Amino acid sequence: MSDFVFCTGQYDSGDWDSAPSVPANLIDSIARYTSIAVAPSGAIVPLSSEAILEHPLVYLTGHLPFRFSEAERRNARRLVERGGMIFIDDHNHDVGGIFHKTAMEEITRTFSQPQDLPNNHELYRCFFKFSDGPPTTSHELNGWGDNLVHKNLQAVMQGDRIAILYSSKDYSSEWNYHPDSKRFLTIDNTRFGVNIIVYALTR
Amino acid sequence: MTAIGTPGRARGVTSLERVRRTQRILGAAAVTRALAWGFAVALGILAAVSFASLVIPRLRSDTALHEIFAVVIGVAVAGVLIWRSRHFVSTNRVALWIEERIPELHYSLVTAVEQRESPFVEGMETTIARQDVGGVTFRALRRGLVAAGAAFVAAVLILYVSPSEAFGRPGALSRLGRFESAPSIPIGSRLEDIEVRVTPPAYAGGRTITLDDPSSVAGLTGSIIAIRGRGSVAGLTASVTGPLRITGDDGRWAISLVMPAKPAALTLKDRNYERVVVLDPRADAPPKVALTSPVRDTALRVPRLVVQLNVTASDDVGLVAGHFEYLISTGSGEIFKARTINTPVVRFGGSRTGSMSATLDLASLNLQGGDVISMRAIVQDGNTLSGPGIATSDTRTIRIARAGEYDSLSINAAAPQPLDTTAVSQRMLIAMTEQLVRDQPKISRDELVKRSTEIGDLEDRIRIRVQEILEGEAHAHEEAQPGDPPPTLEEEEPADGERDPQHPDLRVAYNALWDAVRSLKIAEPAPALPPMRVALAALDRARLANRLYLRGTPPKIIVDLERVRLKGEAKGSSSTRTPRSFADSARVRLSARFNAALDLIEKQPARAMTELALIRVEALTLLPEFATALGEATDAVRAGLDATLPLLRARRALGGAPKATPGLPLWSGGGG
Repeated sequence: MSDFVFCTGQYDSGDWDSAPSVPANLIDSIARYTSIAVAPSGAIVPLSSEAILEHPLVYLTGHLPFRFSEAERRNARRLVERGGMIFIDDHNHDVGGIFHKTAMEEITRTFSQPQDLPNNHELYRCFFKFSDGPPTTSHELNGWGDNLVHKNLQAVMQGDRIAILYSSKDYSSEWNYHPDSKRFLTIDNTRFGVNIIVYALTR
Repeated sequence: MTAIGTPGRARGVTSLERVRRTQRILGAAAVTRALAWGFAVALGILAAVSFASLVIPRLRSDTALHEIFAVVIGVAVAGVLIWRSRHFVSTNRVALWIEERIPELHYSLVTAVEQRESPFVEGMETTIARQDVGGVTFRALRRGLVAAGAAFVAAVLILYVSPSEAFGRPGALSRLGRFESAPSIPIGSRLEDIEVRVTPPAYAGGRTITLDDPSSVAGLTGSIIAIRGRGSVAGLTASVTGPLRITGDDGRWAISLVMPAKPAALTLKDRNYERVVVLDPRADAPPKVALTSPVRDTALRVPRLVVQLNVTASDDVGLVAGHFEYLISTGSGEIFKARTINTPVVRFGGSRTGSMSATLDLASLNLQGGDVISMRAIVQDGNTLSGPGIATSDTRTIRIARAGEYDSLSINAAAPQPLDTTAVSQRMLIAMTEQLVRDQPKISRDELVKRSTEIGDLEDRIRIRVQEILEGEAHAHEEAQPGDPPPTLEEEEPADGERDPQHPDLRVAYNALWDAVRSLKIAEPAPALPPMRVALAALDRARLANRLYLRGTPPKIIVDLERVRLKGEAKGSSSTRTPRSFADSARVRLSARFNAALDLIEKQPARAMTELALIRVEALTLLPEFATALGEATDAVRAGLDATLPLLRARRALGGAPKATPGLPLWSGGGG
């Protein structure tokens, strides 16, 4: 079995590279908490490339308008049809922001309208247990962006699986630090990222 | 048979022969009666199920089970009846049976059969010969045989008038191999030879088309479908998602419905006949929009540019309107705002192709550094029924560079590196050395040595600082304590590739600084200047390399997996994995239904056709190629043609072309 490679999707319209340390941080967490064979560095793959179909989980983030080209839209659909999962995080943590508005529009156009994911979903207990649903981020609690603590993540389901996971909680800011700095945290805030990866790989 | 009961010929027939003849007759009668009752019961059961299916429709779904049940019961009844007649295998029992029906024999027949050597046999034979044994036997068996025959005939008649598909049509009895007939579609109902008129929605401006007896109807969503057939309306039903109203006049019936948005099956029923017509809606395609100018994204140093935007658009029905949308994102870090500007709407007047253009003067938008303008075209068609269909072009972006930012580079606001102070010092030392070179003709040798040595010491401190960065402070202190003579270049020169390969510029600077220090320490400032400038340039490059990264190539962090593996304090618990569903379960499901329908096609073609039509309805959305091939196959069957080839094409389309595609080779699903 090949190693899991954390994939950051490169889309054409916005700043897809706004959280460059997130992949390394989540890779570190996967190694730190699980026995999953993981590559030591992530891959950056254009969403318009067929190479994206080789990855079971694709991470997308940004602040700017989020729009797919036709090739990106086609590959995103194919990825989901093949059992892949796309995790989209609003780096603006602002439901009135341009990323959120355009991303919701694009997800609805490409797949379907995302729905609130119940906070007792398997995603929240497939590795670490999060009894209250998605963990809050410091950006939410500090009143950045829309000054809201978002109670739910959104998802587009493919059968009984999550195909598109959408977050307005700005995990991209929360997890965008060098993994060596993790030792300064009392509680590792990337544990939920482990759940996302474990879910994508095993469900 | 007449010989048995004819006294004139009885003289040559012994009593034992009479008994054995009667025994054969009784045996044949018993078998005949058992078979007749067995068939009557089996056919009666089939007829009863057939009638019951009118009330309980699900009984029609598994006729094979009913047939097996009927055969088993029929065989059981026949077996029981034969078993009850088992006593006739004994001649004594047969003789007693005859004695029972002819008391005048006074047991002479039994005695004659059992005591064939008795001296009284002659007298007994004479007595027996006077009796009509054969006639008595036939009279005794008549009632039972007539009853069995009547039951059989009645069962056949009941089955004939039942809704069963027996007699002339392949169905229940054909499975028994007794009423085999050529497969064909039921004919003669009012559902044959229908006429379908499809009128497209008004916005499409298309003509009404007429279809003769189609198995499927294709048309734009919202089209009016009018169906007419021969015969009265009584007893006809029609339904799609719900029942439809059927009107009738002048000996014809008619249905009118609207083409739904999704494929559906129109089910027509005439008494026991059923026909499914596939409704194949064609969605109005949204327009196609291509932004031909500008052709690529760009970044500008200053927001002074007039952008020419050009778009070409096309639509299958007709374009109505279009405009450009400019979305301007302002902000940095975590704070972004956006505003949207729409250009005036351009009218296309319903033409199928069109173009529009606009000019955007960036100077008029009051843009600041870091702003991003996203431009796209939005076009809508004339679909007033389910639309309008809206299409957008690809987005082009123009970014205004921030102050001090290089073109096409994204600045990462990193903290200043320690190298910065070093670089400033190096620039100062170059200035001091240039001044010393200018002063050199005017000053004494001692003054020259003193000032050059001072500059050399400062330069050496820079060298040590660079060395600290390259190899670490501790190592640097060991290598060069204050007051020690500087090590030779050869001593410090590492083998290629041994020094940190991530800092080639620092290494260049380090070596150049060595050259400069050596010249300065021997009071030769002029030769020191070239390596000092090389060192400054290299330090500058290193500083920039540490602070900037190209957009699209963020710094790569390699995680030391061995160091951190399972070192986390928190412990997770992986729950039981549930198997993933197959990615293409729709194809598997359709394949199973397709195979089941093919199994029916010889024995129950009407039902098979209905099932194939329903499969096609589902396939129109999921597997259009399969749906097309299936449509050809059902058309061939309806026309009485050989459907083998279309069915083969359908099966190939359903199986999909074998091909190697990149996918999720090892992490993908298909089971735990």
